[in-house]
Formats: sequence, structure tokens, C-alpha cells
Amino acid sequence: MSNRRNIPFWVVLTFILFSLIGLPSIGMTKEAGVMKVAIGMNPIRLDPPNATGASDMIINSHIFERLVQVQFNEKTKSRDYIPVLAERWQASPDKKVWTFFLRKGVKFHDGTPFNAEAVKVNVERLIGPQPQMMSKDYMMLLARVEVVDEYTVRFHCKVAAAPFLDLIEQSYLAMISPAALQKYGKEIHQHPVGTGPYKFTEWLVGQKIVMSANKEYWKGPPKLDGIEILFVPDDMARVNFLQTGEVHVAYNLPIPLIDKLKEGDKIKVVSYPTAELLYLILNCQAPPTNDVRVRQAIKLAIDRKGIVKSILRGNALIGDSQVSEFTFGRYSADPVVYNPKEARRLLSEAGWVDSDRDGILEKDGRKLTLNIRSPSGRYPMDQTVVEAIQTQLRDVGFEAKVILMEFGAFIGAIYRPVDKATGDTFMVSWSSRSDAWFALHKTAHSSMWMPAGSNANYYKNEEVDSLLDKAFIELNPDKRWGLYKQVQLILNRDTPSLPLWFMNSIVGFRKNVHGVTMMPIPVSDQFNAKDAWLE
Amino acid sequence: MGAYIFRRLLMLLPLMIGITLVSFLILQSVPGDPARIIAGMDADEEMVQRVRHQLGLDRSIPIQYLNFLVNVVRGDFGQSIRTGHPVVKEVWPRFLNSVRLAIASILIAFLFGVTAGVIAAWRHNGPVDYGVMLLTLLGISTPTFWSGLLLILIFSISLGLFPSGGAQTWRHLILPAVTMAAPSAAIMARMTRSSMLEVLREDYIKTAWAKGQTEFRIFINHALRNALIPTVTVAGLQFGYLLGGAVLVETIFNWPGLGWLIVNAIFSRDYPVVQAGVMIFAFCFVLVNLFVDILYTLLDPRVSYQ
Repeated sequence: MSNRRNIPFWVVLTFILFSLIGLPSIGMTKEAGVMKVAIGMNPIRLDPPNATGASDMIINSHIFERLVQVQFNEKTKSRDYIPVLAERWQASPDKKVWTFFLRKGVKFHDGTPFNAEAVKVNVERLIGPQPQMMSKDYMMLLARVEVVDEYTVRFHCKVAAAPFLDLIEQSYLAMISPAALQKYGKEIHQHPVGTGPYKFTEWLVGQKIVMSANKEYWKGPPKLDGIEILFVPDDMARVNFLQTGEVHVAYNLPIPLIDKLKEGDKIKVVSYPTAELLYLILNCQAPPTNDVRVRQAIKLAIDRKGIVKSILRGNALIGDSQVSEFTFGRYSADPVVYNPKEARRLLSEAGWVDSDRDGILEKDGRKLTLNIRSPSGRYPMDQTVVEAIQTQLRDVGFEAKVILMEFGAFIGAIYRPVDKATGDTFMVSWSSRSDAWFALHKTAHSSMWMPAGSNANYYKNEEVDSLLDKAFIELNPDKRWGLYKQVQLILNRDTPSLPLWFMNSIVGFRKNVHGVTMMPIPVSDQFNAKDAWLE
Repeated sequence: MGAYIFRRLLMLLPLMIGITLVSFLILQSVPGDPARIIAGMDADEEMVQRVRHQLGLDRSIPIQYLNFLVNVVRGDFGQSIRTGHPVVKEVWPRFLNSVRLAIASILIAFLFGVTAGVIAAWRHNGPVDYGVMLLTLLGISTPTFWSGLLLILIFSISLGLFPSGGAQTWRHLILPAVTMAAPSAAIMARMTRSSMLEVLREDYIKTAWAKGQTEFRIFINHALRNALIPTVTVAGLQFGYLLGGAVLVETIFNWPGLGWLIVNAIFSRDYPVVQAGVMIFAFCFVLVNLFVDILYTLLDPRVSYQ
């Protein structure tokens, strides 16, 4: 017997096992002052003009700042425009020229000073020859930007836009260090350099992003040593992390687990209202939804209040308009009525009868079919909600089918020109932001038909178009509100899309987390840990 | 033998091309546009077109594929469509994590599986044997996502002994490795048990008894050594499966492995990442199989390849 066969197997195995355990592991900061947040979606690009995803925005809002920021004032129920990198501003009488007086002594994380030249570089990046993802609105609005002196910058607009400040305050115009833009060029989205209270330290792709405190922040150093944003795509895993204390905050918790998590004294669960509306797209050019009576019947057949109460357990605000209650220009045009009997009456008035008594209505030999397409796992309780809607539509005579789609395919199905559209109904979401123009123009103006814009209803109403065009340049807020009100009334009558509800953001905190604020607007600052601290 | 190994390795080339071509074509034919997915619901068509052009997705499909091959030969796996990071930077650490998990799992599975199999064969037809058979049945039939969650619930949340996810320290490795090891251990236990029983009937075992060898020496030195041969083969194949099939466990335990990266890349239609991931898996699988075949010749001197 050869000697090598005398080494017992388990000695070798144990040796290998222990050497494996000793493999270098990913370094973990054990500082007490680092807050760990678990979110569900991977960030893609940390470059403000190209950051459209919620995770990108949440991270960016701690690293970057804008000239001005909008904030919803709970007491006055209106919006305040807070000076951030700009101390004050003034507009010319014709509102086509806006001058911003910048804050002095602010530095970017790489040491370069923040000044008017930096603003110019950032704005020109958006309106210049190489447009970024969100350039379109700014290219339409701005003609040029002028450096008046080191801390004064002037915006020259093509039109006198009423929502000017709302457009400027959006996160897409956050200030990036010009030196960093020079240095990193196309890779800037992997190396964010801003002026905010936290600076970008490390990005372990697919795992986490580490931010550390900016001790030279102009408002004073933040209370935490750092923030780590961990990507935990699985709902249960996020919940587990929160329960064991491996993270301090868990974002987007599943509704059925809220009550269970509230038991015990370690975790606090809060459900914050947002301006993110979930709605059904109704194709206005394809049968059967091209008939307004059918669309109104759909609206009456779905028990929105009932679904919010029983499926969402109250974690949503009813969608009585496309515009949220945090947004300027809102008018509650929809009384939100659930009336299946009236729905049936409307359908029969529109010529749909049940000739063969199978429970499904027909007209001219065609059945009243409606396919409802929805992504799965993207919105809270989306699968259950869609099934409830299907049942309620069936009750009034629709042959309603649910098609759950993977998100990539879902997007492929929506973004089509009108002649290639599927004719189906889609369940999607949209944020109203701070001005009704964002909610109404993008989804109801006929120039925004897919794939050019986000109007997947293929709705065309010249009166709505002209009202919205007028509202964009109507500088008197009362008159503008009146125009928006008219639009919302028309949309309620025509129902090109059916607003369902504004989804709440459900976040779990360990009891030792303090100072985190959740804001319904602006959408980029929905999760604000800038002033947070750990006990 | 050397020539044999060389021929096996040569097979890798057409295999790689085949795999990448097939995955590329499948991804292209599935609906969903990566440029639109990246641009998001907000962006307009012009913007999506621009993104598409930037990423080179507006060129014809054969050209895209050829471009990919040419770059791979030069060692450039391109950039992730989704994040813009170099694919190698994204894929390689995740691959190492997957390997770590797979090795830990296979070792645990081997240790427990073989031990259980030997004990079952030793106490054949007794209550211990039936007990082990029952356990293996549970091990094979229990879905990993359920057993994983159960382990988290007990050992992480209730008892606080192990972390519930992530991959930082050795403690993070235990629960996911045990979860993944269970079905493999069950298979190896059964394999070991049945081969042990077969071997124990052989004449040379009777000779050993007659010679007066202790029960321990007979079982371990003679029987087990021979019975291990098929088990080791199975272990090798299981390793390949563990490497690629860990997606569910990776998701539950938030283990940053390659399986989950590939699935996510498919959702975002991130072709370069999917290609690279698939290539690595195929490469590993072939190498592991080759290694097992060679190991087989070392273990059983009766077998050799020409």
C-alpha cells in the first residue's frame, strides 16, 4: 500500500475547511456612528442629470445639493422654496431672466470652490450639445446661463415659465464639481463629487455604497460618521436584517408584515404618504376603451376605497385626481364613487349586452375583453390588487384577464407608438412632484404620446392641450390653479387614465435611529438622513 | 493521459462560443429594451435613442456579437449596460463569493453525507438506518428557500447566533452553506450507504474479517475507500450544480454571488454581464467535470483514459 493513501480523508478535509474560512473577507466598518440602510433596488448611475431611479436619487440627495429645494409645509399645506446653494434669487418683471445669488464659502468634496462658474458648467451640461437623460425640459426652458460675477449667476429663459423654480429645484440640476467632471468624463456616474453633508467613499457593485461624513460641510459636520446603503432585493431578507439589527433602516417593507414587525419594542414602522400615484392606463384609441362610457364604467366598477382599506390596510391615499395633495394645482375632481350598477347601465347604454347569458357583455359580435398588464412585485401588493380589480370588472360584465409581466418586458409592451399598441390596460405609477404640470402635461398632453413621452393613453383633447400650454406660462398662481382645475375636471369626465391611489412609503427603523425625515416632495428627497443620528 | 486532458480542454473553445451565442440570441429575442429600462419611465424617445446609441445597441445583431467576441479575445469583457462599470470588475468578485459558498457547502455536505451514509450502512436495517433514510428524504425534498428562511428564523432572529445575510465574515457563511448543503448531503448519504452495502458483500471484506481486522479498519480503510469512488464523482457533479444553482439561497441570505447577478442582469437585459457570467459557469463546470474524471483514475487504478 503506498504511503500517500495513509493520510486519513477527514484530516485533509478539515484542513481545507479551515483554510477556506480564513479567506479574506470583505472589510466591514464597525464604527458606531455609521447608519446602515437596506433598500430594495440597485442604484444605476450616481450622476444627477441621469439619475431617474429612486435608489439613485436617495443616495444622490445626501451627496449633492441644488440651488433651491422645495419642501411641503405641513402647517400651511403649501410648498416653500428653501434656499440651499443659492441664498436668494430674483426674477425680471417678464419672468424670463432669473438671477441667483449664491452662497459663499462652499466647497465641493474635492476641495474645488462652488461658484457661478460651477453652476454654468452644470447647466450647460444639460442644455449643451451632448444632452443628458433629463435634458429635454431644460432645453425647452433655458436659452443660456450667464456668469455675472463670482457668486451671481443669471438664467435666461426661452419662455416665462410658471413652474420655473420647480424645474430648477429638481435633482437633475444638482451641482457636480466641475473638476470632477473634467477628471472623470464619462465615468462621472461612478465618482460622484458634490457639496452635500456626506461624501461618496466606495461602491461595492451590487452590494453597497458607502458614504462618509463631510466634515467641511457648510452647515456644519453631520452627526453620523457615515451612511451605508445596502442593496437587499429580497423583501424577507430586508425584514430579517432589520429584525436582527444588522441594518438600522429598511426601506419598502411588505404590507402584510407591518403588524408583526410592530410587535416588540425594537422596531418602529412608519407609513409615509407620497406623491407617487398608481394608475391604470386606458387606451383611448383602441376598443373597447376608446369609448368614454366604457372608461367611466371601469372607474365606477372598481372599489378603490375598499381595496385601499382591505388589501393595502390603509397604506395609501385615494387617487381622486392625477395630482397629489402635496402638489400645487391640485383639485379633487373625482368623488371616488363605487357603483357597479351604474357601471352596468353605462355599458348597456354604450351598446354592450349579454346576449348569450354567459356573464360577459358583447357588442357587434365582439366580447368586452380587457387585458390588464401589471408588473409583479414592483408595487405594494400589486398582484393581489390586480386580481381584485379583475374580479370587480368581471362583476359588471368584462372578460378581464390579468397578465403579470416581468418589468423589462412590461416596459417593452408600453413604450410603443399608437399603431403598435396592444390595446391593453397597464398599471403604472407616476409622481406628481411639486407642480401639477408634471403630472398633467406628461400624461395627458397629446404631444406626449408614447413613445415620445409618457402619455400611454394616446389621449388627445385640444382643450386640455391648450389649457396646459396656457398654464405653463400663466404667472398668476390663482389663474394657473384655475386652469389646472379645469384640466382635472375634464380628465375626470374623460377618464383617459384611472387614478387608483397614492402609494405610501413604508419604512422600518430600529428604535435607536433618530432624525430621519421622509418627505412626499421633492421625490428625490423622499428619504432624508442628512440630520440623522444613532443613539 | 496528458493528451486526453488536452483534448478535453480543447473542447472548451467551441463550447464557449456556443454558449455565448445561444444566450445572446435568447436575450435579444425576449421583449424588453435595455436602453429603455435604463432610461426609465421618465425619459422620452429621443433620450432612449441616444442611450441606445451610446451603448452600441443600435448596431445590427451579428455585428454586436462579433464585436463582443473580438473584445473577449483581447480580455475586454466590456461594460455593464446597466451601471457602466467594467464587467470583469462586477463579475469576478461575485464569482469568488459563489465559489466560496459552493466549496463550503460541498465540504459540509461531504462530511455529513458520508458520515451519515457510513453509519447507516454500519447499522443496516436497524432504526438508525431508517432514521438516516428519513432524514435524507427530508433533505432532498425540502426546498432551499424554505429551509433557508427557517434557519434564519431560528438561528438568526430568535437565537441571534448568526447574521441573517451578507458576506463579510465566516459567520455569514455558515447558514447559507448549511442550507445549500442539505440536499447534496442527502444525496451523498444515500450514495455512500448503497455503495458501502455493495462493497461490504465483496469477498475481500470476508477475507479481512477472517484475518481478524477490527470492525473500524474494515469499514473505514477497506470498505469506505472503495465505496467513496462513486460518491466523489457525485460530489464533483454536485459542486457544479451548487455553483450555478444557488440563486435562491443567494437571494434569501443576500449573499453577493454570481447566480443572483446573472438573474438580475437578465431582468435588465444587461447582455455583457449575462454573457460573462454564463461563460464563467460553463468554464467551471467543464473544469470540474474534467477534474472529477481525473480524480476517478487516481482513486481507481483499474480505470485509465487513453
